[in-house]
Amino acid sequence: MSRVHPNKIAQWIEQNLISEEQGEAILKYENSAPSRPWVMYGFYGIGILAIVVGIISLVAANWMSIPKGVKIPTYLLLQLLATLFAIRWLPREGLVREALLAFSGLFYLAGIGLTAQIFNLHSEGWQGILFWLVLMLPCVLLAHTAVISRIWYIGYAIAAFLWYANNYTMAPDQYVKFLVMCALLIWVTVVGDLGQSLFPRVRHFFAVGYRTSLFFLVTIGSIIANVLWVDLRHRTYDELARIYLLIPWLPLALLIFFVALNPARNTKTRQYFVTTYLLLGIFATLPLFIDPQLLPKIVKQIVGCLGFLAVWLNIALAAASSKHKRLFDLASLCIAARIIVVYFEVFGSLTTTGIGLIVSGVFILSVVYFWHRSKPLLSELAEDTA
Amino acid sequence: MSMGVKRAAMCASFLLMLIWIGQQYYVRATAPQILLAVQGGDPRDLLSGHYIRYQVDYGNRARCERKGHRGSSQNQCVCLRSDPKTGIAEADWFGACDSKPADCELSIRGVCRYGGMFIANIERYYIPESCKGPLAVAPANSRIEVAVPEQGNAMVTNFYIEDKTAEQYCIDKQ
Repeated sequence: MSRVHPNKIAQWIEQNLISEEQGEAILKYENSAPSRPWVMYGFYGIGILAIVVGIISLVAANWMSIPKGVKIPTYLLLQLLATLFAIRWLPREGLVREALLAFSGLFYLAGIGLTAQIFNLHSEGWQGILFWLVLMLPCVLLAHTAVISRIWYIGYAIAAFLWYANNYTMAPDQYVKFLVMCALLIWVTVVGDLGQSLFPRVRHFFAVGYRTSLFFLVTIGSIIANVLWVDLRHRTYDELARIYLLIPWLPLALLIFFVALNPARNTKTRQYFVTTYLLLGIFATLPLFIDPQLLPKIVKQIVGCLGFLAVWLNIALAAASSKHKRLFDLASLCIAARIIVVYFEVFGSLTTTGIGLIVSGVFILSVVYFWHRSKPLLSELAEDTA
Repeated sequence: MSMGVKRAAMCASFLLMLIWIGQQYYVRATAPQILLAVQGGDPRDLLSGHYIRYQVDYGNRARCERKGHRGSSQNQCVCLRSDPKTGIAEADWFGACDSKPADCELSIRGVCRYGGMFIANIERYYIPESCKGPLAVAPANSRIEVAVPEQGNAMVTNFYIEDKTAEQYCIDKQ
């Protein structure tokens, strides 16, 4: 069955996007190309799901009847079988191979949980997750699909968050804590960017890490940095704080260097991304050079707001230049939201009255409308400035 | 990457898991066992199963220094000595593990948390689901049996209530 509907082809021809000959060639190719066996994949999926649910139900129903001495040997036997089956399927391609690798990797987490339960082990959580990530790594690197890599990075993010939540008192002040968290994300971005060119065989693993950490770095990082610019009540100048400067700056410099050298991306987009990293780095570490405690609140608010807008405007330009619609929409949303926050910061007291609420609503709608209208203008600007 | 390396990597993960589990069995079988008194109960029902949460009573000597919101201290140790009459161990010394006295034969390693709590990751004991009712609150005279290896990473091996194991206590109460 064709993956492109003939009506769509007709529309494209009508809009002069493709010629009639090209349309016919596309249809011919689509009809001759073997389609993916989705029905078979579906049955495979249902089958695997039924087995897994069946095993879980069976074990759960009889959990307390199973002696402690049997549980761990049984788990080890199942883990060994899963590993051996995955190894046996390694030379082949397809869904079974990927499913076996995913199952083998995920099953280690069940084993860690079971062992912790039997031996009454408990920790802050991140140690167990990190141990699981280490055990799962070979499966992730050998898999040819990105799903298992995404699970790995989500696990990493959870472990990093748990570590941070449990050890936050170690850092000397609030700002340094934020820097350490951002540095973790910057390092993953650096490793992800470098790994794609250094290890092409496991490129997807590094690509997922690069995209995920970059997303969190820019979204969460710039927002937290913006808030901290205004609220730095617990900030103190410490010798240690200056040492922490190296943690985000070193990977940031490396990142800019490698992104600038990477020939895979087009020049315009690369310039915008390099500038974004640079702006984010400056924005995040500036308070360590200039003590915000000494500045009046209004100056901090203006610097914080302009820094945030500069980072996101640059991302919007990069997205417009690379025709990345979703990224552009995200940037639009962040900029619009920040402008609305500015309104509330300045005229917040108005919202307690009915008229104030109406004015606020009109203001919000206006911001969204003008931002929406300015999209084409911004795209042109991106084209011109590049 | 050759197929041999790929297979070896997969096997290495399994071996690592095997070694870790083996280590837990080894500690439980060989480490000296002591009894510690516990207080309070907090039954939980999470995905990880049912367990009792409690505070270990190390006696008066195991008190973390309160340092406010920056008070977390890593690598703290408590040296323990068993009372010959009751068989229950209490803190003989408390402080940074690096400055542990030479005559400290049994010690548990942990961290000082916010609010002056010493946490050694032995504050939880898994119970069967059927015990959830009888052990909604840890009864008085509850004690834990702990295996204490030389490195100080203690492991709970049993939970006792009035000389019965938690499991036996549940059966009797039902």
